[in-house]
Amino acid sequence: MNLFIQAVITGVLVGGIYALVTLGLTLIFGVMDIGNAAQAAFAILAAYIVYWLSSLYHVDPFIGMILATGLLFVMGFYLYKYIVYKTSGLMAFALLYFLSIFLESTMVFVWGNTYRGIKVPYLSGSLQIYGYYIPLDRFIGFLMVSAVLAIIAYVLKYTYFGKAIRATMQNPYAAALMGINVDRIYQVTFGIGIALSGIAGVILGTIYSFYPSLQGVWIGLMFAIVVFGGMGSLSGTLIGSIIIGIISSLVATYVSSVWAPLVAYVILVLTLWIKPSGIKGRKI
Amino acid sequence: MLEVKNLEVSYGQLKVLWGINFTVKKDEIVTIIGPNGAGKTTTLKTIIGLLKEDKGEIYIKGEKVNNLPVHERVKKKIALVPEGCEIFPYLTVQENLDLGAYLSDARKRYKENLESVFKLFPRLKERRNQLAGTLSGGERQMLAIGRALMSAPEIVMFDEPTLGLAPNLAVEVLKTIKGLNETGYTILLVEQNVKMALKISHRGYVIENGRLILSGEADELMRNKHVKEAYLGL
Ligand SMILES: Nc1ncnc2c1ncn2[C@@H]1O[C@H](COP(=O)(O)OP(=O)(O)OP(=O)(O)O)[C@@H](O)[C@H]1O
Ligand SMILES: [Mg+2]
Repeated sequence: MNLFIQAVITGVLVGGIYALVTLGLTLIFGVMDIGNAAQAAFAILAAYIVYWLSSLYHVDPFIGMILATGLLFVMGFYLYKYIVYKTSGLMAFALLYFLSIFLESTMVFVWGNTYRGIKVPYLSGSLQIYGYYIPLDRFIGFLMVSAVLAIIAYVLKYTYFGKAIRATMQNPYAAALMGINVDRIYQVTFGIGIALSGIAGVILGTIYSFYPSLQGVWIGLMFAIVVFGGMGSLSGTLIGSIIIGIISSLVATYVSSVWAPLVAYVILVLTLWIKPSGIKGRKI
Repeated sequence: MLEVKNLEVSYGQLKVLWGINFTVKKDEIVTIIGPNGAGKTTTLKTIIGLLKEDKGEIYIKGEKVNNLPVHERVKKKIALVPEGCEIFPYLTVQENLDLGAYLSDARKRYKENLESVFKLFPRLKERRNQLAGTLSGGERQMLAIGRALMSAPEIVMFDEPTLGLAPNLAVEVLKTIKGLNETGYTILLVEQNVKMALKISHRGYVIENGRLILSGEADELMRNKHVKEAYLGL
C-alpha cells in the first residue's frame, strides 16, 4: 500500500509537468490547427539556456527561466509571423519537424549530446509528509505548474484577451468581425504556446538530466497526450497527463521502469481504437 | 455613410461581381435584393474586408477603407450580422455579447449597451449562461444582432437575418431592424423576403449575376414590373 501511494504521488507530480510541456502544443493545435512538431525541441532549448546561464554566469535558475521564457515567446511570435503563417497543414508540420531536428543538431553542436542537469542547490532534499517521500524539486515544480495552469485558465475564461483567443479558435471570421486582430491572436498564441513548453523544459531540467535528442522522445509523448486528452482540449490535456503520469509511475514501480515509456503509446492506441475524440470530445 | 464604387470581386478565376455601385446615406435603410448566387453576400463581405476586391473603391463615412483589414474597418463603427449568424457555439450567450464589445470604444459603453440589448431581446437575458450553440435558430439571430449592437455601430449590415425563421418570427426580426433604424442606426439589408424588406426600407438595389440591374425608392421598386414578376410573385 505504501509503495502504491508513493507511486501515485510521484505519478501526479510527473503528470503535472507532462501537462505543462504539452499544454502549449494543445493550445497551438486548438487555436490554429497546427501540430507544432518543434514544441519539445523548444522545451529542451529552454533547459539548455538556463543551464548555460546558471553554470557560466551563475544566474539563478528561476531568473534564467523567466529570461528563457521571454526569449521563447519572442521566437514563437516571429516564427509564426514570418514562417508558419505562410504555410498550412502538412507543410507547416513538415517545416516545424525540420525545425525540431535543426534545433536538436544545433544543440548537439553547441553543448554536445551528453547528459546535463540544472542544479538548484536549495531544492535538493525532500519533504516528508505522513511518511511519504516527496522530492523538493518535484514538489516545487508541481506548484509552479499548478500556478501556470491556473493563470492560463483564468486568462482564457475571464479576460477579453482570453475570450478573443477562444472566439478565434471557434470562428476566426466572426472573431474578425468583432474587431479582433486575428493574425495578432495567432502570433501571440504561438508565442505563448512555445513559452509554456519553455517553462516546462526548465522545470524538467531541474529534476531530470537532459540531452538534445531527448526532444524526440518528448514530442512523441506529447502528441500521445494531446490525442488522449482530446485534440485541442486544455482540460483534457491536464487530465490525460496526470493519468499517463500515474500509470507510468505504477508500471515503473511494479513492473520495471524499462516499460514505463510504453504506457503513453498503449494509451494512444487504445484511445484511437475506443474513443478517437479523446477524453474531452472538443476543443478547450 | 457608405459608398461602393465599381466593385469587382472574384473567387480565384471566377468573377462574381462585375462593377457594383451604390450608396447608403445616414439614417437610411437600404435593401439589396437578388436571386441566390447573385453576389449579395460577396458584396457585404467585401465591404467589411473579409474578401479582397479586384477593383473599385469602398468608402465608410467618407474614408476610403480598401487597404484596411477587417478589425480596422470595424473601428469605423460598421458591423456585419453575417449570413447564418456565425455565433461562437462553445461560448455562452454572455461571452458572445462581451466579444461584441471587444473594441475599446465599445467597452466604455458596455453596461448601457448590454442593458439595451437585453431590453430589446429579453430572451437573451434569460439564456445568458447557456452555450450559444444550444440556442434555437431565432435566438441565434437575436444573439447575432445583439452581438453586433454591443459594438455600438453607426452602420449595421444584415445578411439575410430572417433565413430559416418561421414567418411570424421573420416579421419580428424585420420590425426590430426597422426599430433600430428609427433609433438612429443606418442600415444595409440583404433579404430574400423582398416584400417585407422593401416595406421597411427607404431605397433598394437589385443585383443579378453580379451586376446592378435596378435601383430606386422602395415603393417605386415594389411597383416595378421586373421586381413584381421575379421577386414578388405577382
Ligand atoms: N468561397 C467561395 N468560393 C467560390 N465561389 C464562391 C464562394 N462563395 C461564393 N461563391 C460564388 O459566388 C457567387 C455569389 O455568391 P454569394 O454568396 O455572394 O451569393 P448571394 O447573393 O449571397 O446568394 P444567397 O442568396 O444564396 O445567399 C455564387 O455563384 C457562389 O457560388
Ligand atoms: Mg448570401
